[in-house]
Amino acid sequence: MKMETHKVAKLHAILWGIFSLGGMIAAFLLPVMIYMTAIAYPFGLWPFSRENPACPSCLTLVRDPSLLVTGHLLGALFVFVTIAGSLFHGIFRFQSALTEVGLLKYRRALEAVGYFIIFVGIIVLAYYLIAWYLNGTIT
Amino acid sequence: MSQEIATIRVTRYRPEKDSQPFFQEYKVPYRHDMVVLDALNYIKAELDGSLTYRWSCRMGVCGSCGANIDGEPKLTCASFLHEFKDRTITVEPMSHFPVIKDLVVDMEDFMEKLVKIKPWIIRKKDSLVEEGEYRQSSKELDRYQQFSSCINCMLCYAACPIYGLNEKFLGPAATALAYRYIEDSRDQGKDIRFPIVHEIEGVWECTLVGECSVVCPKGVDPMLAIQRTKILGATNAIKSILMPRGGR
Repeated sequence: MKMETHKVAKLHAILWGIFSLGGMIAAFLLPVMIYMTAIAYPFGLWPFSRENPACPSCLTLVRDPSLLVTGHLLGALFVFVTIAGSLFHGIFRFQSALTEVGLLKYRRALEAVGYFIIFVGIIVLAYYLIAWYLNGTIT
Repeated sequence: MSQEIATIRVTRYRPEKDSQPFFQEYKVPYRHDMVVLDALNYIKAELDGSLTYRWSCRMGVCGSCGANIDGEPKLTCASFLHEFKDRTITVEPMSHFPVIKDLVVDMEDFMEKLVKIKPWIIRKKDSLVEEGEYRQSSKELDRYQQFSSCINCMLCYAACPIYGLNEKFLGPAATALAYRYIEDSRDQGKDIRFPIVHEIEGVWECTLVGECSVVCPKGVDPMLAIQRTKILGATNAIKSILMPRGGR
């Protein structure tokens, strides 16, 4: 009797899990981030404040979006999860779109390029967020 | 009073004679309670006995009369003529399947997939009849009941663009049926079915277009079955890394 063999796509299953979870998290957090950076900050609704470093004794309120990350691990994680989750969700969906438009022949090559760009993007994002978190600046 | 007429354009294709399919138009006397299958039967009986199509129960149960009606996969026995504008209807064979003759498609690929997922209850050790039935609560039944309503009409395959692009894709109905048994509390064949549905050409080819669930005449939601099967696959894959001995 012929033995059935099936190759379980374990890596794909894990990537799908990240896509699914990352997409859901990004869907919840992205609107919050857009509100904070594109609406709240320019319209002066930014809730954060700090003392003026030039005059520690003065209680000067400064609106500054960098305070979201500087010294705040949770803030850095929030930015990382939102952007990295969105990027990963995007590349996975792009991969699906390649299938849907019938580019099966070129899919593997395009996927590889896409994943490479996204992973480089995520590493760069992590690097700058760590620098921002530790030094208060991304430069 | 003059008799109302419906115009039925049907794909004709006889591989032994025709190099490619073509449309043939028939005028059929119209009644308000007529379905497309009635019109096809009228054509076969009164106008052209060579027209070939599958049908059996005439009541949306057997799943054999599927066709593309005005471009949409539907059961011909459940599509009333009065639903179509001007009573002019185009009937074509279901998409994505090789045509044997006229509206009759080759079901071989689907049948192979259906058998592949082992659509029966698997027990590690069969019990004797004297030991009684395998009991199941209504809550346990609810977990899979809708997926057991599939009539294997293949409309979901005709609607699935991914199956159209890659015939190796396991597809909606087979996955829904596999999930039906995976969720059945009486079944013990998860270890056998999981590797089949979690191959790359199992559920992972699905890109969530969702047309399979839209066209299903029995209200089955194959897209949901595929999504849930994907969640099981992802969970098991992560478990197997975190708990190599305990995870599946």
